[in-house]
Amino acid sequence: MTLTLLSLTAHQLLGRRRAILIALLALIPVGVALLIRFAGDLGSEPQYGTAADTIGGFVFLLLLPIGALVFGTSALGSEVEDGTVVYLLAHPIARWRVVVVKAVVASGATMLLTAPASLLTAVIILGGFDEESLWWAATVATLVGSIVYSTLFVGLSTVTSRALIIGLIYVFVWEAFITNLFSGTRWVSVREYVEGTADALTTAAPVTAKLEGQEAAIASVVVVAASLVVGTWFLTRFEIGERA
Amino acid sequence: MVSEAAKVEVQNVSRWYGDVVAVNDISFTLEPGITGLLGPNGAGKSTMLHMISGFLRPSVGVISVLGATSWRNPEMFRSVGLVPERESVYPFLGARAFAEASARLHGLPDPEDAAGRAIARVELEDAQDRPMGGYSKGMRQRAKIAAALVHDPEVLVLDEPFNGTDPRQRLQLMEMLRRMASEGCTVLFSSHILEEVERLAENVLVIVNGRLAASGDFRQIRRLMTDRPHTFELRTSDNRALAAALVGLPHVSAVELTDSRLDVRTTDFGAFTAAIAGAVRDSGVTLQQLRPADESLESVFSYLVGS
Repeated sequence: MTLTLLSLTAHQLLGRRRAILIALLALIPVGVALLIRFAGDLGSEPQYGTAADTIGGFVFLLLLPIGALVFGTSALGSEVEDGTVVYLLAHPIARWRVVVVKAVVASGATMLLTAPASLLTAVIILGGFDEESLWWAATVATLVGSIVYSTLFVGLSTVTSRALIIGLIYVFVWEAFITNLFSGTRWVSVREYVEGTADALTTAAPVTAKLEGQEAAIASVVVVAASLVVGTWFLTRFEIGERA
Repeated sequence: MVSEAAKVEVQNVSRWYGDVVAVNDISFTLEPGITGLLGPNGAGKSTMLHMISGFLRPSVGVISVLGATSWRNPEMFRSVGLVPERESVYPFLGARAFAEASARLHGLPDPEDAAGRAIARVELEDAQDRPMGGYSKGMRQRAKIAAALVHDPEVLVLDEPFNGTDPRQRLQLMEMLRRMASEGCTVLFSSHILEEVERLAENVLVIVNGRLAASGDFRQIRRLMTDRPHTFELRTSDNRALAAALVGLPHVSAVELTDSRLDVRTTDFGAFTAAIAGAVRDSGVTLQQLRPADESLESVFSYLVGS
């Protein structure tokens, strides 16, 4: 049952143009890293600051939230939109299982396309050196971010048909601007959890975060759990209406 | 009092969207057999089916399917099949894989075998492995039906199941549904095509403006509509002589002679059918044909919708 759910969701998510678009987007940080590596003057020392800025700017700020937003809101939202969700829900399947599977597949798809980009960007800019564990930190932080963002957006897609727009506002208004203005809002920014995770795992000085690693881990777990609970609550009360 | 055989029970159910009342205080029960849900567009048919299948919460009232409430009860689908109206299917799957996925989601012990039987029932073997994205509308309908009956449901709910099917496919699907009903399945389907309902349904539920305008056998419904005169068509050896005899009967409201036929309107179905034999004998004519002219579902429906 779970395998069938996984397979249907994965086929729907990865068999479409959106996966190709996100894959192309994932090439941007890698391309930028190659430009910096081969066209810039990096000197002989590993440039941790340059690597941190590139990963922070292109992966954490752009690729990761956009990839998770696209996969997270599509995993269930596109089935609700086109009506095929009824075929899943007209079966004796616990709704929590549907939400968890959707979150797992969306997280997996986001990881698949963002974590290699994060790792490659770090490896290319640092030229193979990494005494400060930045590769590891960037990759793990991207994996954590994939799970938290994707699960959050799967949950959001059970609440509203405008999950994509609300997600864009969250990423590019709330996280990009509001969180920088008011320090208290760091607790409700997944990007801060990602940066907090990265900061905790590397000794590279240029990597800084507003949250401690432990705080970021706790906040990540809380957001994932809350998203699953909210998603299950709304899917249990799913009604065919204008959306399906 | 609800019969023990009732598989679906709808009790004083209403559903509204804001100020708009989609379904208004409807009650009925369904037993094994085929029931057609009929009504004009926007009458509330789909709303009713969605509530029965647990995809809409009644604003008021209770719906139980196989003894359990349908709302927030996914376990109900162990014995219930649903064919939704929307055409969308998984475009990357073939009908066989779609039915097999449905069987797996039901947790059936042998999903391949169950899917094979379901595909055979809807006669879609030839196209079963082609992706459904390339199917015609009728083929998609059959694939959806196969997926819905893969677990041999006790109750099958179909929303406009014959949409897009050609006449041969329609006949085949009707025969399949009749067979399921004869095996004890409770089939409820909606249609806006009177002919389909008339040909298939033993019972009809007529919904007009969100209200249940009538339920039961449509011929019996027609006979109970005593405020509407019944029309009979008669052919005899001497239509004029019989017309003269009938026009004096108290329950005959109109007699019309045409070239070859005599049309008689009566206000009392039972009294007229009891009196016609005597009238024929007394007038010395030979009765060649006597048939009710407005007992079709179309007549019943137009009376109900127009009233």
